Amino acid sequence: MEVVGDIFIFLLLQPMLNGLVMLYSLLFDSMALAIIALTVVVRVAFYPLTIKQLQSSAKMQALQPQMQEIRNRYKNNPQLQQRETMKMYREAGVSPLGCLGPMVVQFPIWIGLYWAIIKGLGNLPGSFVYLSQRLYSWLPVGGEVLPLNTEMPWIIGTLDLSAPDPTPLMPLLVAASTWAQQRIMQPPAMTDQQRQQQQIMLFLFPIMLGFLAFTFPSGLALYWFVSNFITIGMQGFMSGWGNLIPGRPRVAANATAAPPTPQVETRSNDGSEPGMDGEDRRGSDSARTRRTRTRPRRRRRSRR
Amino acid sequence: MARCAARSWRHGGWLDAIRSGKGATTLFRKTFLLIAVFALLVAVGCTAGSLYDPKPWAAPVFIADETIVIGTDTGHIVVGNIVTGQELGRCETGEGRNSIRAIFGAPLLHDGRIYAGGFDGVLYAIDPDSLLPESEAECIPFFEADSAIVGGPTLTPDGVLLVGTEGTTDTERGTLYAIDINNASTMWTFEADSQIWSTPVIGDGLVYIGTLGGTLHAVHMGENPGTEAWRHQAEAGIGGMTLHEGVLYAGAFDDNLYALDAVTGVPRWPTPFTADNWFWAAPLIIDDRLFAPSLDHSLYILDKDTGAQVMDPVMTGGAIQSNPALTGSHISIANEEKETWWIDPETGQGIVGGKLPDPVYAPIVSFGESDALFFAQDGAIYRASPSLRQPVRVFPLES
Repeated sequence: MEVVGDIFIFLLLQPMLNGLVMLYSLLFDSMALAIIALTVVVRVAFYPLTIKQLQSSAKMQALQPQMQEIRNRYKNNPQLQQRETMKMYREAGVSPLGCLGPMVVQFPIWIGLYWAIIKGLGNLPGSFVYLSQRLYSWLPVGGEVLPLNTEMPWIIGTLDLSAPDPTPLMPLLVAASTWAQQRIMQPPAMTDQQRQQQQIMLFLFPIMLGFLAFTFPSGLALYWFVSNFITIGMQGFMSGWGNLIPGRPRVAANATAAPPTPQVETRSNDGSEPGMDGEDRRGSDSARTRRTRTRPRRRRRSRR
Repeated sequence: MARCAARSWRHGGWLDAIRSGKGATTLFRKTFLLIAVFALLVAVGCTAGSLYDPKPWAAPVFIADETIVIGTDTGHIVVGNIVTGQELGRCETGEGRNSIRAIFGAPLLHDGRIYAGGFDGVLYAIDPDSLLPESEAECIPFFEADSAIVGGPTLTPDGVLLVGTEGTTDTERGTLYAIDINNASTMWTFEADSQIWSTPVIGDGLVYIGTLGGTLHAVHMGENPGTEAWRHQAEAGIGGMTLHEGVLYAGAFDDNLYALDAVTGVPRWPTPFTADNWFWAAPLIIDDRLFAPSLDHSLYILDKDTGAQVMDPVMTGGAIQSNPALTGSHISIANEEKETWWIDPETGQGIVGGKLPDPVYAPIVSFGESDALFFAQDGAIYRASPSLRQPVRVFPLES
């Protein structure tokens, strides 16, 4: 266990701590600016991953009609349905787990930043000693940056970034930005269940992160807020702001990025999997579904 | 993120649940499960430690042959018997910045009363006989300062208590208070350039305080009390200080150890001695040699008059935070690796003693003829000597 801790410190905590202190000294001895800059740096570093996620997201969006068709066709055979779905993904060159990458990557970053704040910014004797042992000797900053200024202007005067916000403002900002980020990235729901699920996610995650922001150091909450803000901006510029504006048509994330056409329809029409679910394919629901799904998509495209 | 997670799950395991038509119950259950996993990941990673985790920093102080008083990292002043390991009494101090209760500076004993500065900004005066074991009673306040007290109090021969504060969040300029020990009235104050964490050191008519901003102030106590006699600016915060034969030796977080004339502030060495990391602990002087522990893991042995190294440093393999002590014929130190070390001041040779369960940040206190007391971060005091293979826990005894 100690080895795991050492690896975590070496690979994550120490670079994060040194990065924060370095940015702090470069950015007018302001921890708030250092955290904002670190967030930008992290987002830039993961930009290729984010783009990949958005592209994967777009491909998945475009596969929705075909996926619906598979669901309808094999609704009585979940195993086959799953196999066909995976086959479709494989042929289209997408991975349903691919979009989890940035999320998974962000966990250690959150945790590293949390510990960097805990260990380095506490302004207690122990924090100082810890910092002295973790700062890279080649870094051009050292003990002269202490004590760190962890305060930023706030509605109550100043906000200590190493402590939770005593007002509900920061948690509200985190919750609101998380909601907005999810909202702008959310695709149009295909089914009632999906819509229901989206609604749950749309509110549960902001509530949860807002709650965490109440108890965690404000520096971490600031990171969440800025990170959400950047994501919203990136998504907005890539696929429009429609999802955020009430009354505007919902636009699927990156709907313009057309995926390769999957082989599902061809295969299903040539009877390669005949009668597995006992469905009459000539007048099947799937065919109707395909027709009804494609029309609004065309309308949407022509409108754009 | 949520959408992504949900979709991935749906196409993995969600699919069956949704397709099987179990309806909203399954959907909600799965969704909550996802949320729970997310929360667990964040919780495991982030709540395993607390934001402010004070550790014992205050040196134990003997108030009788076998009786000590300690200030704890939980804000308690505890009196105990070092031989029996029994607690004799305790009281609790208040909450300071960021809801921290702690005593970082060593208590002071005068005329049968214990004086200790709390992180809540209150200087307490306690009659040890009035304390009860395991009590939750509040300590008796003696003087209320403007902000947290980190260093310990110091008493001048004419009965003036000196204590520094870290300053309010508005100013972040610490204040040195001179308090009449008879009536707790403020005799004079001095505003430092930055936060004061150090225990004031008193000399001939002057008191010396170091700040986190790197300024070492010498302040008049006799004529024109509270006025600055001289100041020395280091590049980073001031660590431990030792006054010896008219020279003030002060370590700093800029990796330098300074030797300054106590009256004028003029440097006594051609250049400060530089290590590879900060000087946190106060140096120890024996005869003509100065033993300076550094956070770079070494104990440096210098000529106290020139600052030149007279022997190879003792490389302990762990940062040394605690002030060393002369115990019998050895200098005892403890390092971050939980090791006790015993150094012969004549030869400069060090041997590793027994290992403690936790590192020691509090100054080491000599005990008896050749033993030392180590107040470790686990909140217990251990007795050790060069001949003892393993340090012995002496207070409080484990239940």
